[in-house]
Amino acid sequence: MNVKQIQPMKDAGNIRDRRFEEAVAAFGPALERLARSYEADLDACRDLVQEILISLWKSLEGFDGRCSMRTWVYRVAHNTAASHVNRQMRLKQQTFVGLEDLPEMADKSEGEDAVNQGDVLKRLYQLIEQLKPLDRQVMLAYLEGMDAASTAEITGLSARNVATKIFRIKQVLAQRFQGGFQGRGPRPQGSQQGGSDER
Amino acid sequence: MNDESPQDRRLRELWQDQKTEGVRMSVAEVQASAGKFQRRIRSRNAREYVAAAVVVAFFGFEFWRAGDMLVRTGFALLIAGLVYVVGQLHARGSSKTIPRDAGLSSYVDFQRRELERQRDALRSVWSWYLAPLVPGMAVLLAAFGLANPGHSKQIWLIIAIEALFFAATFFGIAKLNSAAARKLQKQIDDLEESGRQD
Repeated sequence: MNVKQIQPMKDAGNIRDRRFEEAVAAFGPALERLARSYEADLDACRDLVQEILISLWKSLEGFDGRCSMRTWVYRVAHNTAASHVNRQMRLKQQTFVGLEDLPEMADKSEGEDAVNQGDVLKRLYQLIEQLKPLDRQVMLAYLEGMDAASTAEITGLSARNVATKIFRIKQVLAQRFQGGFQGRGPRPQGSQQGGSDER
Repeated sequence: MNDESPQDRRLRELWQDQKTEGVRMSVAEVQASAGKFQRRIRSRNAREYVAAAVVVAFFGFEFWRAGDMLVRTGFALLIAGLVYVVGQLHARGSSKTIPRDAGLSSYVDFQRRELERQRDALRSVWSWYLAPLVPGMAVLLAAFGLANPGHSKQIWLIIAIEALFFAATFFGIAKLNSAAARKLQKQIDDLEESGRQD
């Protein structure tokens, strides 16, 4: 290998490193939230973040701008995290539910008041952790403020399916969190604490 | 999302504003971790190969100890079959790293490819997991019968029962794998359905 051959490879490596740093700066907190949604155990969650970052760094070698950097980062992160969940499913014989099954399921924290933001977040994570990977991805995309088109691009779901799932997500969130924001704003008229009597 | 309620908005703000630890991994640290990760995979693969080598060594010892040519042939075929199966298990086993093109594939595509790979491995379990062991076992059973000419009737009956037992075991393994492949196919169909554009 001569110097002329080495130089483009070095440049490609530099570009990848720069892209990685930019991606981490832009999406680092979102990647942490994503990992936390897939892995409840704190140490395992840190390992998952690391695994996602390694996958991302490796993948960026092939980033060619066919999709946005955000879509690329989320695809790599979700695919890595879902593989992690699938491994856990096989090891622990875990099962997950779909969004359509949630309204019929009992809320684990039913009857408890979400007295602060920490409680609301805890309940939100508990809810997300029950979901099948695909529904979990739509829920996370919704919470991260992505539009339906971006969600469809990342997940591969049809636009109609994304719309249906977002509709269900809104229903579930309304049902489970309508009493969970004391001190942060007015509670909707006629709502009940925790929404327990909605079920 | 213009139709969001104030509660939806507050929930999303709460989600996005939550405290995180902060990703503090530099490129150099990622490179070092990727190297460590690869070494861990190599070490896991090595452990699997050592376990296979122990079994092969045992059959190798029996091959060396046996005086009869047919018995030796049986053990040689069994060793060859085992080596082939271990190689196939390694090649077809669960993917241990995320492919470099993971950013090009949506979850539906990525997951479908993974499920199809697993389904194909389960469906073809006869050809790569069971069949390679059959010649060695058949030759060893025949050698066992021929080595006991004095009790010809009973010995062939015992061999027939043993052969039936192995056949039933293999058939059971194939049926279980076939059922697992059908379950995977159902998941693949569901994924395809969810990704189908209207």
